Amino acid sequence: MEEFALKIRHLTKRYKDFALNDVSLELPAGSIMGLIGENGAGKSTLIKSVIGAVKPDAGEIEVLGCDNRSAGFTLKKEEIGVVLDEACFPAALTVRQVNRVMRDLFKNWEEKTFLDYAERFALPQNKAFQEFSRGMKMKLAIAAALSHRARLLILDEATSGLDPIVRDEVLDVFNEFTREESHSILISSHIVSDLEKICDYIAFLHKGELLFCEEKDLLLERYGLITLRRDAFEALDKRAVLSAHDTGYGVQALVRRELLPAGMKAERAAIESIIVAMAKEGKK
Amino acid sequence: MKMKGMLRKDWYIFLKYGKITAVFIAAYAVIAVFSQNAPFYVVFSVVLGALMVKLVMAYEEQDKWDCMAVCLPLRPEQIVWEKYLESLVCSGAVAFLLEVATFVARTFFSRENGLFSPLSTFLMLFFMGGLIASVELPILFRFGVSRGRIVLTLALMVLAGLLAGTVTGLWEAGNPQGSLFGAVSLPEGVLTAGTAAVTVILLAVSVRISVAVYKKREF
Repeated sequence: MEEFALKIRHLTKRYKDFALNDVSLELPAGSIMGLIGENGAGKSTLIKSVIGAVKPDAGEIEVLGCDNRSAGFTLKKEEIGVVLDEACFPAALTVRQVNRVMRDLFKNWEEKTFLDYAERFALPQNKAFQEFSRGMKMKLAIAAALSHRARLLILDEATSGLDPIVRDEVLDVFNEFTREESHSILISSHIVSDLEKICDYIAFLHKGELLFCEEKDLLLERYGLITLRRDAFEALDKRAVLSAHDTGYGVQALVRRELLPAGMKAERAAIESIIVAMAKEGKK
Repeated sequence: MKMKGMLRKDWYIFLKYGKITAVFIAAYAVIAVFSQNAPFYVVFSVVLGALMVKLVMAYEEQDKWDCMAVCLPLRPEQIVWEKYLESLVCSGAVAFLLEVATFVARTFFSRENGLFSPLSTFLMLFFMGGLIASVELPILFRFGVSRGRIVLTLALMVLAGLLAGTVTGLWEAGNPQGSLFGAVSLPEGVLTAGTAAVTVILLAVSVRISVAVYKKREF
């Protein structure tokens, strides 16, 4: 088994009005990495570069130990399950027909697994895909991605547009998937709380730049939330403060714990607050 | 196996959306064998047959299957070849339909459209389908269906005009002999083999162009 499910080195892709700049990250095998960023930050460009739908201008991408520009990558796709921001199956097809088509396209297609997921997700077997709700469509795409013994799942906004109950159900499925040691997930989402629930690593893209790619727990250890009186806040080392706002009763600030005065305790910050603060300030 | 899966998917799309086109093709085939203006209807039904691929690709593009296909364990060559194969299957089906219609017209209604001998009819129509595919598919792979439709329409109008003009010219010249090839001094077999060779060469060049274009495409 490879040490890393995904290695991206110096990935660069330039468009007329946007560029993904020199992105490097590594997803250790057996873990889940959440890719966070505002609209247009470059998440989909990164994911499409990984699967080969976009041709990078520079950089290298290794997926499950295989260079994604090599001829062998086609075969490697047997082990990669992809769910894009839309389900991307022909709308005319029913669940049964999708099963028959995919059975021919994947060597390791597991019909029983697929039909079990379809049942678990309450997907009607003989209804055309076009009559499905968005939630049902995404569930079908997820069922298909999980039914050919994939070792890596690449999910681009797979949970967006789903209601909270369905999202929770889908996140459970992803968690189950990574119980297998060799299974990994790269998931992009706007919904930071979802990623906080399941991810081991968080990568934050902002305007085409990777601001950080860190273990979630380290991130939570590094940053904290404090509430102080205005005068106490003014006395703080300003390098410690990532963001602050006046609550009327004092100042609530997101801070770097290491730069706080000795003995000052900070509460656990939500990943979302850290991300929002970083996005606003555009700094590390 | 993979080709089978992709053809199966296209078949499902065709079953859902292609019925009306199929009815039109059948209607044109019937009109062709009973009409005084047979070449027009023959060419029209062949063009419609070849355009079935465009229909399927349009729905695939709309549903973003083309983007999904990149994520599947398929080589670019397989994705391209499948569309050519499908195009030839459609042309073969239309040619077969015209053959059946001609047979019925001759046997039961004593109608003779004077176009071809049976084998030549089949082969010539099949090659026409191949010719259309060789022009149509590189454009569709390069621009996609929605962006490529203007270029494609112009290209097909020129091609259909040339085909209809050629078929009509040969038919009128050869009609006294009751055969399309009556106007041509070459034996029918040689002419058919020559047309086959030209179509195969064009298809081979077209496939190479489509593969190269597809490999450069981004989704």
